[in-house]
Amino acid sequence: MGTESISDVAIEVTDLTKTFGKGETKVEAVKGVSLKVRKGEIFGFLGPNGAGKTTSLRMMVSLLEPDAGTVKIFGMDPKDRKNQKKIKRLIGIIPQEVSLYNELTVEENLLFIAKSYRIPSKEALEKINYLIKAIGLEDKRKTPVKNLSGGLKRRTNLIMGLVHDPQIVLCDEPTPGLDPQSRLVVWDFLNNLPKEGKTVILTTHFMEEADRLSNRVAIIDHGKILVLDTPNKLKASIGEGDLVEFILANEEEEHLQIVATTLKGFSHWVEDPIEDAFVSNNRVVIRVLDVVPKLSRILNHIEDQGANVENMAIRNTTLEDVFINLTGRALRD
Amino acid sequence: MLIFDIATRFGKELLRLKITVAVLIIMPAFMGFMFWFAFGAIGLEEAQTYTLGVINNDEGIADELSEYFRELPLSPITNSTLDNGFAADFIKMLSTINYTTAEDVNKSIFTVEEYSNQPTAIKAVEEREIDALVIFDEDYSNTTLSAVNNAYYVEYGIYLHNISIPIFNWTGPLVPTSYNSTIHVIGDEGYVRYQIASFILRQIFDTFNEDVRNLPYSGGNIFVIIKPVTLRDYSVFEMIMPGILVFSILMQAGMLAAFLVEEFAETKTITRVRLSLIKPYEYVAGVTIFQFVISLGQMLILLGIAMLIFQFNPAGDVLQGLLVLMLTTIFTTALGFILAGIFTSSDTAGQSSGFLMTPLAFMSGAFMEVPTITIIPDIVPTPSELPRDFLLWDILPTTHAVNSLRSIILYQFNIFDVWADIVLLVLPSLILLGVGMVFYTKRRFMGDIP
Repeated sequence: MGTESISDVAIEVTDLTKTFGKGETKVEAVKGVSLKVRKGEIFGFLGPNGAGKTTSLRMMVSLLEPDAGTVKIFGMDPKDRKNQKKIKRLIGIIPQEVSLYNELTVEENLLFIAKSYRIPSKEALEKINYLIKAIGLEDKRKTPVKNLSGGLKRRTNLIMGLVHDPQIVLCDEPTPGLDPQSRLVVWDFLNNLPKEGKTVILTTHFMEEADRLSNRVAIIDHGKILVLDTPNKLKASIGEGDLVEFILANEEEEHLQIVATTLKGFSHWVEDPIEDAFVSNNRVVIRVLDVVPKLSRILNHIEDQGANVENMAIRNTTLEDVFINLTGRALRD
Repeated sequence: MLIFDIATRFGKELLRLKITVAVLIIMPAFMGFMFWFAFGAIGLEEAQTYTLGVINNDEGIADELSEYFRELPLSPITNSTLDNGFAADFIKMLSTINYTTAEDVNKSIFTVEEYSNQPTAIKAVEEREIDALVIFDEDYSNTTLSAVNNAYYVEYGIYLHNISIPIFNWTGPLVPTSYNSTIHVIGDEGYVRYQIASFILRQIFDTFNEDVRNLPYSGGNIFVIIKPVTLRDYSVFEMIMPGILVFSILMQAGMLAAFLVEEFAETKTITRVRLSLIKPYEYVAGVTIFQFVISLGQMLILLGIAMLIFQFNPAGDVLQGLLVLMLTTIFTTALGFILAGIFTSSDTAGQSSGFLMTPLAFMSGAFMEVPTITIIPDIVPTPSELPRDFLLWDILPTTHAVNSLRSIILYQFNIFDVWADIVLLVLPSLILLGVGMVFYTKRRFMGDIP
C-alpha cells in the first residue's frame, strides 16, 4: 500500500468490519477491509451488489458504526469530537439513492444544503451557479425536483454533495439507470474533480465505469478486498492477449466446459498456446496473443470437438475478467 | 439562522403538497360542516330552560338572632321579611329569573325541583332528569347574616368548580362570626346541559357576591340585585367546535411523523442532514417551529371558516383560545417525533397516527361526554378554592386542552382561571416533547443508517 505521508492519504481504513443481524440472519458485510486512498485520485470500489462496497463507504463517513477497525480522514479520527466539524466540511457524499427534497426546486435544494454547511449566501450562490453549469442543469434550476427526469435528478443528486466544496467525494453508484448521454456527463464531471484537487471514492458494479474513471481499483467481494491496483495492472495480472468469446449452438454448461477444457493449452498448430479458456455467461472465452492469424485454426479445433460456433467476438481484457478470474463468477451473478 | 432555514424548508415542502394542505384544512372544515349540519340548529332555535334540583338544608336564622331580624325586610327578592330563611328565598329567586333577550323575555332559565333526600337527587342527576343539583347547607341563613370575613363557598359539582364568596361586613352587634356555609352545585361534568346550567349559576353567584360585597350596610335591608344574565345559548355544534379544533391539531402529529419518516426512509435526505453541520437540536427545533406555524395557520383558517360560515360565535376570548391551541401543539409535536422515531414508512406513520389520535380525541371529551372515573378525589385546583377530583382522562393532556378551550371561548373564563388545566396540558406535553426529541434524535441522528 505504499509509504505515503499523512497529508498524501485522504482516507485510511484499517481492518474495517461490520456484521448485520444475529444468529441465522447474521451477515458479515465487511470483513477486515484495509486500504489507503491517496489525495487527488479516483479510487474505485468494484464489486457485485452486496459485496460490501456501500457498507464500507458508510462506515468511512460515520453513517454506520464499524464493529471493528479504524477510519482516518487526512489523519484525523472521526470519532474524536473535536475533528467532527472539520471532517464534515472535508467530506461530500453522493448517495446511491436519489436523495433530494422533491418539492423544492434544484436551486432551493442546493441552497438548503449550502445553508446546512453555514456557507454565506453569496458564496453559496457562486458555487451553485458553477455546479449547475458544470453538470448541465442551467435551464432546470427553477424546476421542482419532482418534475425532473431520472437522469436530471441523478445529476442534481451528484452536485448536492459538492456544494460545500469538499476535498473528499464519496460517490456511491452514481450512474445506474442513466441513459448513455447522462452517464457521459456524469463521468466527465467526476473525471474533472481530481483536477480541482479533490479525492473521489467511487463505488460501482459497472466495470467500464471503474475502468474508465479510476486511478486505482479495489475489487471487493463477500466483504473482502480481493485485489487492489491500477486497472491496467489488474488486467495484466490475469495474462496478456486478446479475449475471444464464442457463442456455441449447444449452450449446455457441460458441453461448453468440455470445449473450454480442450482449448486450454491448445498449441498444436500455433506457436503461442491459448493462455486461458473458460466459460462465462454461456460463452466459451479464450485468451491468446495475436489472435487474428490463429483464428481459423482455433475455429476448426472447436468444430472438431463437435461444436458449432454461432457467433464470436474479439475484445480486450476487462475488469470483469479480472473478477471472474478471481471469483470464478461474473460481476452480475 | 439555520433553525429557521430548516423550518422554512419544511414549510415550503408542505405548502407545495396541495393534497396534504387540502387535507389539513378541508378535512376539519368538512367535519365541522357535518356537525353543523347535524347539530347546528340545536340550541339556537329557542332558549333552553334548565332543570335544577334543589336540596334546602337551611335551618333558617338562629333562634337567638331571629327575634332581631324577624321584622326586617331582608329578602333580596321581594324586599320583604323572610318567611323560611335565605336559602328558600334564593331558591325562589332562581325559579323567577328569565332570559333577557327580547324574544325569550318571558322564558325561565331554570325550573326548580326540590328534593329532600340527597341519594334520590344524585340519582336524578345521573339519570339526567335534572341538569344540576344545588344543595344549601344548614347554616346558609346564619352565614348570610354572619360577621366580618366569614366566607361561604359555592362548589360546582362533585368534581369541578367552586367559587369563594367573601360575604359582606355586618356591623350589627348580634351576629356571631363562627358560621360558614357551602353551596354545592353537582352535576355530570361531561353533560352539556350541566355545563351550561352551572355556567349560569356561576354568573348568578358571582353577581350576588359582587353586589353583597359592595353593599354598604346601613343596618337596614340586605338588598341583592340580580343582574340580567347575559348568557347566549350555545348550539351543540358550538359546544363541539373546541373539540374539533383540538382534534385537528392532534391529526397534525401524523403529518409531521410522515414528513420526518419520509426524510429518513424514502428520500433519505436525513443522510445529507447528518453529514452536514446541522446539529440535532437545531433540526428538531426547526421542525418544532415549522409545526407551530402550520398549527397557527390551520387554526386561523378553521376558526375563520367556523365563524364566518358556520355561525360559530363564541362569547369568550378567541385569542386566548388560540393560545391554548398553540400549547396543544407541543403535545402534537411530541407525538410526531415519537411516531417518526418508531416507523420507517411514512404511510404507516400517518395511518397509525390516525388510529391513535381519533380515540385520543374521543377519550379527551372532544366530541362527546366521557364517563367520570375518579382516580384521586379533590386534588385538581379549579378556578375557585375547592379542588376537584382527578379523573382517568386527566392523564391525557388533550383532556385539558378541550376543557380549557371550552372554558375560555365558550364560558368566558380567563386563561388564568383555568391555570390547572393549562398546567396539566403543558407540563406533560413539554416532558413528552423532550422525550420525543431525544428519542427521535437517538433513532435518526445517532443510529446506523442502513
